[in-house]
Amino acid sequence: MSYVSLKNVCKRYKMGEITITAADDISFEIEKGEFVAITGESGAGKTTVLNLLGGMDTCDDGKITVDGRDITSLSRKGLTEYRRHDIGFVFQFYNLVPNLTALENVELAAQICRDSLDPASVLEKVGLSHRMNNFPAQLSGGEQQRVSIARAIAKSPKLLLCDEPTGALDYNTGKTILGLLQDCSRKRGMTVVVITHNQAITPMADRIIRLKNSRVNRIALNPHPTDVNDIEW
Amino acid sequence: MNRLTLNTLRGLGASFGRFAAIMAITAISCAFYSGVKGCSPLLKGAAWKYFEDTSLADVRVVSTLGFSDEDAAEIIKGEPFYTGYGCYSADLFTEGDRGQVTVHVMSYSPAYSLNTPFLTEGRLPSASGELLMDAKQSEDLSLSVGDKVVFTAEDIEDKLAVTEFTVVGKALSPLYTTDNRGVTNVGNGEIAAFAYIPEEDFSFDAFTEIYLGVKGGKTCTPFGDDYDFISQSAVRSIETREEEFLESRRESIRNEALDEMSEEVEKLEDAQRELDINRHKYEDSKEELRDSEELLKKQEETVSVAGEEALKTLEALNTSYNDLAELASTCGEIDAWLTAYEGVSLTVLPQDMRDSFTRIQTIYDKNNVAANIGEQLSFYVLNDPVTQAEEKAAAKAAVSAVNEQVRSASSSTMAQLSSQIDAINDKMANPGQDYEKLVAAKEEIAEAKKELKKAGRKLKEAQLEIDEGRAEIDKVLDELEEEIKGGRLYVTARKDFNPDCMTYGLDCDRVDSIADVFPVFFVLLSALVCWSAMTRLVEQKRSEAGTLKALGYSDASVIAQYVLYALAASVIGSVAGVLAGFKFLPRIIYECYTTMYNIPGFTDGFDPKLAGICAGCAILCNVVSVLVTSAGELRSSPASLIRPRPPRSGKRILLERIAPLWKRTPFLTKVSLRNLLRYKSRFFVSVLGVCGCTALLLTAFGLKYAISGVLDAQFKGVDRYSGICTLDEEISDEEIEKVISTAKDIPEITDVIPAVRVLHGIPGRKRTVNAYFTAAEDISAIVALTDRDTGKELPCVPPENECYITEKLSILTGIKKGDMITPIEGFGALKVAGVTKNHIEHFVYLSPESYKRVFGSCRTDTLYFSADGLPKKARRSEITSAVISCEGVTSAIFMEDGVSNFYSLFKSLDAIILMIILFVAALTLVILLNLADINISERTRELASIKVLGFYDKELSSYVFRENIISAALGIASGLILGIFLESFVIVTAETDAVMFLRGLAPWCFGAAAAVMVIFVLAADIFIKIRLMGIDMAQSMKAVE
Repeated sequence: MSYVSLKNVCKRYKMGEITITAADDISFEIEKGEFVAITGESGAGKTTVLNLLGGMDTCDDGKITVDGRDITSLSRKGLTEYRRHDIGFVFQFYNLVPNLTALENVELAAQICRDSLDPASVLEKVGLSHRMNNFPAQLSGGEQQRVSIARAIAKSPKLLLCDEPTGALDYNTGKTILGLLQDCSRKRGMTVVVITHNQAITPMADRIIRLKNSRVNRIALNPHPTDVNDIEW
Repeated sequence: MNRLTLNTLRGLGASFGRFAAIMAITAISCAFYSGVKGCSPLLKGAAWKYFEDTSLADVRVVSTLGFSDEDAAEIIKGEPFYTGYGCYSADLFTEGDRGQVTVHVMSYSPAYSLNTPFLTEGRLPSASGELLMDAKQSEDLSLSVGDKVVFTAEDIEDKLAVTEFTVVGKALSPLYTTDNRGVTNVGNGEIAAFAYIPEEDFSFDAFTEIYLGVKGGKTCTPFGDDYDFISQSAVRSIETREEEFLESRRESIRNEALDEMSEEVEKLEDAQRELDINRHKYEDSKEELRDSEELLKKQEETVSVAGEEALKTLEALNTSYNDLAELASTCGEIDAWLTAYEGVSLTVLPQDMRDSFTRIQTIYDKNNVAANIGEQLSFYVLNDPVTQAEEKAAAKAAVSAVNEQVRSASSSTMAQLSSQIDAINDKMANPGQDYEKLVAAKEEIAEAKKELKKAGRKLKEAQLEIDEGRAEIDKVLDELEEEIKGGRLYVTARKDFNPDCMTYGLDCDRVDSIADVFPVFFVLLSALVCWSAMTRLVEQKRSEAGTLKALGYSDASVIAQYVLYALAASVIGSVAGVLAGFKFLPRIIYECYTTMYNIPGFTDGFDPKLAGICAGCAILCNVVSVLVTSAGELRSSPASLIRPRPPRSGKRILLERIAPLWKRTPFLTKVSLRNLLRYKSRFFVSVLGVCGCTALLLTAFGLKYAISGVLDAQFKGVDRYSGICTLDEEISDEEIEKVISTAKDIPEITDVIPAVRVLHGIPGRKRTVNAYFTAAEDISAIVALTDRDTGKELPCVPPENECYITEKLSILTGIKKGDMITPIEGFGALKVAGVTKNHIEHFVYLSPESYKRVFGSCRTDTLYFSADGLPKKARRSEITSAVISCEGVTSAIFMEDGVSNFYSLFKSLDAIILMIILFVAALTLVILLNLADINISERTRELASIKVLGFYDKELSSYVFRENIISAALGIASGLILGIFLESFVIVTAETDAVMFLRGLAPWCFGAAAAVMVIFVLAADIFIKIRLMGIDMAQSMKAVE
């Protein structure tokens, strides 16, 4: 039984007379502790899949199972709970709360979580111990993203979902971030799903799911993933 | 602390503009509503407290006969009263700065349990010669503490014991609630001020009035129905005993008068007694004299009777003697006959012989000689001496026998008689002693009679004097009776002897009714704006909400944050507003009122219930709007929340279909039009906001017009007279004529119209409405009669049994043209021939005949006079003095002077309206700025792009302004229309029963409202411009996918 499985998942958006199919009959599986990369071009449906996985959206058809639980049948409240305790989300544009400091942003997430980690130490882990009392506006892009990751990690989620975490970052900063994420997977055993349109990163992943035109194009397994530090792009 | 809450609180600070705007709008509308609505109870409370503290009397009794101490005590003892006192007052003259003025002088004593003066300066009078001056009017008269005042008046000694006074203090009097000091029937009719002097300085011998306090009068508000009921019952309790009180007063007056005259009466009685004794004596003497006279008379009589008798006897004797003599003479005759015919006879007796014999027989008969002598003589003569010698001899013998008898009898008797006659004659010649006594007695009696006559005359004179004296006393008593036989008791409750104190209550009610209507609209408007602000808030926080949801926060916890925001803004705003409203507004309104009303001691108050309701509603409004909006928003999935709301797709607007028009529209205008219609809700809110503010402004200006225009409309438009003169109830027709001619003699007076003007009740829908029934030959000479519906002039006097009624009366009672009107104290009904325009008070106009038919009698009691132009104040005074000096006139006043109260009444409303305008202005400004703010914040990206494209600042501004102007124009236009309805609604609600404000709006109202709005829109535009300059292009354009 896979940890995460999607079966025939469809997501459609109706805008007036037009229907856009963001996810068209998508099926794949993910094992616990895997570092999964979801790739594809812009508009391929990557974010949609991640949103569905993260309980941020509901699908129109199909079934999603996470850790033996069918989340497609969850009520709104159930989904909220699911998001609360089981998911850690890292957004492409950080989505930090501007009026809270870095530490408070992490505390914001930690305070509602069952098994949360200490926000300060998590921030330390991501290397922001000296930035804890700064507001997002006072942080650089990379620092903001690290806060975002810290926020997600502090929840000790089952699934860590990251939507193009390095999209707005430079090469070195991006590498650091990916290293963090890899550590989460390797050292903490979190199941990490990362969306990226950068093919060069894929070697670090255990599984690569390639989406094209809202469909699963290819699923590749990588028995020997490379350490991110060894990857150059 | 919960990080979420921390975020919200920080967020308040971050977007403080919006937070402040919501607080401000909530605060302003709460302040306005609670301040205006909470005002009336506080104002009434201040009055209530003042009346209680000064123990303002509830009932006043005035009698034309005055009151003695006992009379007063009797009335005060009455069941409904717990206290009372009698006092004195008089209207006296004194010299002021601008000539002679009339002062209503009242007595003061610390023992008076009611109507305590409210000291404002100096001290109360405590000794004779001290005076407490009218604080409000003392400036007018330039009197300060320490100044001297001298009073003059007709018969002042009857009124005051002292006429020179020193001012020792100034005070307000609870009997005078406004600056109106009342009217009088001396001088020029106007009273300038009041003053208190010590009781002992009055020299009246009876109280002029009695003031009473009614049980239970202090425990209920003086402006309510309960108090009305209590005081009216108390008034009635005295009225029903009017005759009783008057009669007992008459008794005491009589007794007083009698007491005064008792000395004289005693003197007269003594004199009378003496006189009576003397008269007795006189009578006795008279009796005695009469007796004497009687005696004398009797004696005289006796004497005269005796004398008469003697005379009679003498006469009889003489007669008898003469008869006898006659008889005796027959003897000789007979002898002769005997001899003559002794030897002769006749065959027939010649007539003369027969006559002789008859004569002799008559004499014998007269002397009762029983002999048929005539016959016998005839026999004798006839007997032939030869043939009838025997018979002749027998006859001769018989005759001789008789003759001899006669001869002797008569001679002896004659001798007797003669001696008797002589005796009597003798006596008569010598009356003797008795007679002289009688004469003496007669003289005595005559003397005595003279004396008696003198005495009698003296008695008569004395009696006359006494009678005169009595008559004088009687005259005095009769005059007194005449004076006191009329007499009336005037019992009035507070609302009649101090009418302004009730007007105060009515004014408060009016503020209340404005508060009921006006601020509600106000509050609705601000609710609308807060609603839209909250909606914007939720929209803006959309992506944050998504993030929170993504983190696993429940919908409820996110909504709770918004509610927290709304609560914070509205709680702070409403609490601050309510507190400020209660603290400042009632006091401001009160200050406006004090220029008119003399009610001191206003204390701030707080009505928790009202405050609670007001704040509660405001808070509820904000919270509900945020709840509704956010609940709707958060229904979406976190993913879609994080995604920014897709911009509304551009749509073709209706205008586009009109191709030729569209082609000609400049591009930027096209954009503006499309924008306007795309963001319908934003457009709608802008228009509605401006519309509401305009309507409020128009209503405020309209109120000012309707209220302040009433006076001119009434006194220059409707009324055609310059003044009114009221006449005494008992004035005679000649006196009326005299007044009319006196008035007409005054050069400025152009016309004097006699009329009847009496207040009667008419049953209305809810309660009786009192209207002045005015009857005159030509009504149109008094007032303009304009048909309310057609605007045409009505005939100058309604036909028989018909009447005209005034507009407000028609509205209040529901009686229209053609209906019947049945006055309560009248007999029968009148048909309404027309409804005429009028603004102040209610009138029913009819002909004198109709009035007489309905009310029984029609007596002129009013004179309307018109003057040419308006004479100056001093001249008006002179004119009214001249009219008042006529007999039978109780008052005369020019309307100009009489309505000065109304003017100040309306001035107070003016101030309130100004306040309303300021509030509306503030609200408008805040709303417009808020809307402007919203407009910019929502389109920052769009505006930044335009800036980047290279638009000049001016072009950028006009890009925004174009939309602004269009929505403002639409808002103002619709607001002016909406305002018409709102204004008429407020006017009708805020009116009191007695007044009809002008209906409709003057053009300047529209102009003013529009102008103010335009100014504010421009101000908001300036603000927008500043913000536009400040748009940071780079920041605004940061991409959010």
